[in-house]
Amino acid sequence: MNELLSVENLHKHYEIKKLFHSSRQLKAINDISFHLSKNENLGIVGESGCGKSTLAKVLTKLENKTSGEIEINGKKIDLVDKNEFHSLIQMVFQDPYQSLNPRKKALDIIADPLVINTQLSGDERKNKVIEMMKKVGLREEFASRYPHHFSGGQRQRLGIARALMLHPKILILDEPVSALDVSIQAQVLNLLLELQQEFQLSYIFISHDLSVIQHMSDRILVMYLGRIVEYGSRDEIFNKPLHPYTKILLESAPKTNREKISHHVLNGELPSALNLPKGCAFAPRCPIASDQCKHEVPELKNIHNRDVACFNA
Amino acid sequence: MKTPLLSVKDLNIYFHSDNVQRPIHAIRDLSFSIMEGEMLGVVGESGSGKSITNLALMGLLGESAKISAMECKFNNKNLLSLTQSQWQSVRGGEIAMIFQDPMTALNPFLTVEFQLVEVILAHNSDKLNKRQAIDKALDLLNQVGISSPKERLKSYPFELSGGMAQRVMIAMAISTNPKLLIADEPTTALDVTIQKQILTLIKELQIKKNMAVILVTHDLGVVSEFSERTQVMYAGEIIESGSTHQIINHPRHPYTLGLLSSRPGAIARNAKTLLPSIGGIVPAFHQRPNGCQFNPRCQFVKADCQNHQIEFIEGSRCLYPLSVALERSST
Repeated sequence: MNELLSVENLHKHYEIKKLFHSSRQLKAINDISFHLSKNENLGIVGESGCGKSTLAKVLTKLENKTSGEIEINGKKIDLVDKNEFHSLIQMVFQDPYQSLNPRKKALDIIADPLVINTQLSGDERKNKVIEMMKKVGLREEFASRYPHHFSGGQRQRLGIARALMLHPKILILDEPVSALDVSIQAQVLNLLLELQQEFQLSYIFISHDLSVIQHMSDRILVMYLGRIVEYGSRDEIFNKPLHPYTKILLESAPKTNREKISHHVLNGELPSALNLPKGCAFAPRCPIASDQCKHEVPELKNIHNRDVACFNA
Repeated sequence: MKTPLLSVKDLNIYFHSDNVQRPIHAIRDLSFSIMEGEMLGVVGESGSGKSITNLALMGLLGESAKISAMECKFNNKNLLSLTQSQWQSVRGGEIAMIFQDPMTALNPFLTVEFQLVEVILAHNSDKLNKRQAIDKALDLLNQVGISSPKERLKSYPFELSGGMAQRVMIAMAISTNPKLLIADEPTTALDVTIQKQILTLIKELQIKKNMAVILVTHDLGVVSEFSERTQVMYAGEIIESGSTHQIINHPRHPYTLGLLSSRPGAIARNAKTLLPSIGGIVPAFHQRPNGCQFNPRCQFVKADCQNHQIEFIEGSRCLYPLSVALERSST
């Protein structure tokens, strides 16, 4: 079987309780379905607050889902035992300055997954760590240094090495390069592509930077306020976006190509997830919203080889 | 010829510290100028000296900084010889600044109204009383496109989104009708759609108020959309400057070329192929190389690049400037 991960009708709701108020539901993830095959990269785009990071947390079991099915390697996520789960899916975090323990040496940071999930001796662990450090482009003598000795790019390499220690099949990358300088971004992206070949990895690549998503993904999932608005292959979505939100997102990204610059500005901001509009969540900001959009929630339907949730696409 | 609003010639900034023997030479021979009402893009990575230059122009560098320049003239004033009390009217009055992270730039304990009125009354050229200052604050929030400004005046910063907080910062900056606005990475912390809103707002204000803007960013895409003229900084020097169009399409310095081609999506290429990245990192201030600052990372480096300091000639600081035309990506 080719499908590594499949997600069906996933929901994640948070209960918000306030003194003297009835509790309210925050729908962080609302009916999301997708799948991921071996060696494939799925890009997830959307503005902050759209549920990208919550999705990553649910997939790595850092948060429990409210409802829906997640199957990993053909098994239901709840039935996979902890050790096996950790050797299937791992995560690299956004901020390399906050995701590494400042009191631990690089060696201990990278060795942590081995300590927790294996019975290897100290020497064996050390050998594995050094081997992995070389693969991510860190020199052996760095092993005894603390995180503050490393630059941003090197720290992100540490984070990647840690995530790869158990040889997972899926790596979730939550904005892995957004904290890095432009010239360092390219180095880390290249490293990720090389590692993908070497370890036969599948990536779930979360980013708000469309050029990074375009470069790294095979398929793209565009989210808005917890829902999928468009889901399809990279070429379909970048060459001919159908959902008005995807179109505006693509137009908003700064471009160096002057002929392609659009002067269209998306008005307004993301509404609060606690107070979702009645119909399509994007309708209040949408340039082509009709009456129907304000009252009904559009279903995902397949148009031109991709799924779009829009009445007017 | 018109005289520029701000003209800087051979600006050098040194930092003294007890831990290091010789002073750190952070900014070297920086020369640039900006005309009234013009937008100048400044591009560089962290450690390139963008922020130190801005702080020097605002008179905000501490005692440990030693600033020298042939000329540092703003609106016929020599910025380097201003006294503290003269700075009070220039800083925030004639030169205003907005910062990268609007959330940390606003005081979390005070309302938007308090913070706006404080600025208006501090630079009170129209002799407004408090009530009039509140009216002006309301008008400013309107000008920067904040919806329901009356309620927003009573808000605390945590009740604002990042985009709204940045609009409040802009309102504060333009409250004194500055001649020069320094925008230091104003949209780095924001989403792309909000980034476009904020940059468009700054552009509109620049034109409407005939205000000069220094737009600092690490994103070449941002300058190519918004500024006519751009300078690229690396390790405390300007390594290339000229019209944005020229720099983006025909970069002359290998570093600019590297920045452009390592940007995913800037140049036509297939997905999931390796990007031409620049190896290594920006050197720390105390570990600067001899000769050209970029030579250890440069793919075109030659022997004499390492020997002597490189002059800034015809728009670039390179002994062997490139002549290339970049192939644009189709998306």
